[in-house]
Amino acid sequence: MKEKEQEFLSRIEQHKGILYKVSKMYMDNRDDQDDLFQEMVCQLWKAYDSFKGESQFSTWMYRVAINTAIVFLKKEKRKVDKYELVSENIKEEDCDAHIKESQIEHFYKAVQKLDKIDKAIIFYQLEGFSHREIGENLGISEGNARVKLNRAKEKLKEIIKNQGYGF
Amino acid sequence: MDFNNLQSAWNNDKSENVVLPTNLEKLQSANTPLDKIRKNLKKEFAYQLLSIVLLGFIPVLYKFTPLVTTAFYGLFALFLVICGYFLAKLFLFYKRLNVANTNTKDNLYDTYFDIRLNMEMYKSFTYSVMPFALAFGVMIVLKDHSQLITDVILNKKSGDAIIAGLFGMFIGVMISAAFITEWWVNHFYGKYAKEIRKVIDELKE
Repeated sequence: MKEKEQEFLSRIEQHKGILYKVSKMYMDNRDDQDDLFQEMVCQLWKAYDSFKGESQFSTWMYRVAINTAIVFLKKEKRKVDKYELVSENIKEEDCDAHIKESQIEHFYKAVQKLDKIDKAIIFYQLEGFSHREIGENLGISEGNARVKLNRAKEKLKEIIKNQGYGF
Repeated sequence: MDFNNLQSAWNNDKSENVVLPTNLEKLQSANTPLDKIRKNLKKEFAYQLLSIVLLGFIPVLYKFTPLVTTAFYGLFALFLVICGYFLAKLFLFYKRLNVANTNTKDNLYDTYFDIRLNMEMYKSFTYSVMPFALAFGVMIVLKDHSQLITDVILNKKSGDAIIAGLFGMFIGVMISAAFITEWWVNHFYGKYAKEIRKVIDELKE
């Protein structure tokens, strides 16, 4: 394997959680998530030459991943196979982990109902971005990012409540 | 659940089992609007090149007289220049790499304008070659009536009926071609522009 490819893959390996979470936020079934994950890796690789190291690799990766997810088109005519909300393999005694997993799965289910920009804003917020950074990444003002984040949170709360899960 | 719980669950959502692709060269990008457009264009390039080659055989297939053949190839040379220009432009668009590392708004606008540019270029191409296609059609229709044309030119016969017929054909074909082109471009390319426009509107304050 070429040195550049190896370097790229090891960098992606360190931050693959970003791609994993983005694909789960933007796609509601396993096949589409896999496709989006691959598409993001592909776009990152295509754009890798443009990464000059002026910012952190992860910062650059967030942008490319979100930009790809926003314009990603699902494959047509695929059987919808939505993933199970709670894994059957969770052990009874692992109660705390069970609750957390259940929460995150409810969240992923609810977030599918948000529009693409709201998903990006919620994602950046959960990844610890400030309003200014969210604005910079999306190309909007800090104030607009703040307003949109509050609205997206409200929408998300409402969706989760409507799904019968307390918020 | 509240946002603090959610944050904690989010932080604990690990991706250890995710496997990265090992062969990057084999990765094919196929699910972005520009990729879909590139795919459509690639198919159309093949059909267009084949059509251009076939058009070049019209004088042989329809047994044109030497005079009409000369006129045909004169027009055909111009037709080739125009096709070459637009196909080269579309090919450059097809090859151009769209790097998605700007901020989301800029990236969406770049993608949107690339799609719109491609759509307009495609329409211009069709409208530019349409008169040539018509002229070739007229040559085929009138090839067996060379005496009649000579008579009209020499004022032995009135050419009103022929001119009216050709004019009607020209209008009919141009209107139909315009409708088909608009439908074709909107169906195969416009839907992607519309989708991107919708996301751009979501970004507005």
